[in-house]
Amino acid sequence: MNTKILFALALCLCTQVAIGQKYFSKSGKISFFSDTDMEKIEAENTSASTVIDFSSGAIEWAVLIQGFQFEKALMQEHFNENYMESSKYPKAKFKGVIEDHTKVDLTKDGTYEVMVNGELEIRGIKKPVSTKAKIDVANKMFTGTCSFSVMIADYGIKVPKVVENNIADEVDITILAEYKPL
Amino acid sequence: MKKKILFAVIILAVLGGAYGYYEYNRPVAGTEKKKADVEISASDLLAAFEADEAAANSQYSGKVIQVNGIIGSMESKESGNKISIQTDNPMSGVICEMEDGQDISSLNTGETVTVKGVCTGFLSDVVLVRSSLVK
Repeated sequence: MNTKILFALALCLCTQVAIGQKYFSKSGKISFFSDTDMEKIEAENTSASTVIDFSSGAIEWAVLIQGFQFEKALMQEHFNENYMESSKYPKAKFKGVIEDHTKVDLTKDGTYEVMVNGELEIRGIKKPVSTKAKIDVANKMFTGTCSFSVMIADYGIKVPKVVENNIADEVDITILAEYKPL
Repeated sequence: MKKKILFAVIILAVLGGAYGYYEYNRPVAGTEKKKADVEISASDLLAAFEADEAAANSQYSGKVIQVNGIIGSMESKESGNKISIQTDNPMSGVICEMEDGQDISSLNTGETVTVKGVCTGFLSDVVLVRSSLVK
């Protein structure tokens, strides 16, 4: 009898640990920056959603393309209609793994550098992405940050000749999220 | 006569240039003075996306949607204010990114609110951007 109770208790504890390893945010920030001599273009989205499962290191991000906010209306219209075709491809997604997730100790404050590998899907095209990322742990909460760049041609984005000097071939992407336990 | 034509061409060029410059610098329009394309409850809006995301996207995305419901949570950050409106689904809601200058400090969680904003689609929640408070 006692062993049964013990077993049940142990099971409860285990499930709790398993649940306690998933973290999420619905306010992930993704910004990108295209820098040429002719023009600097930047936009930001503050409602990306992301989940990390520390038991496996799995990480996922999703963002709505129409949610990227530009300073200039025309840029935003061109971005949605001509380049990203956001009504056809409303989301961009990332699915990957934090390779060295075991070195992150969420009970210990500090900054952990990790390696993330996965697939980024933009306009329905999936390409591998491999990047360093940072996890800042403070008070059992943590912030994840990362920057990397993508070649827009990899995702089938064609830039018309007239504006080819205004849009960079390689766009810098910065992401940030404050994760909470799920 | 020639002078007149030249004059007209110059005027047109200046006007065209001015229009181009204005167009190029035109800021993204807010929703405060825009009329809503659709008025719907937060629960019905979410239900539409959960039932058929592609159909709901073509019906609502990119449009000014006015939603009403109960405030589930709010957050204020340097990147802006957000209101999350509750729905019948406890896991999902309607997230409204408020436009700069929209004061939400008088609102409280649990109150009923009406907000209009541009719908950008559905992740785990429906998202409205550049939102403004209706009441």
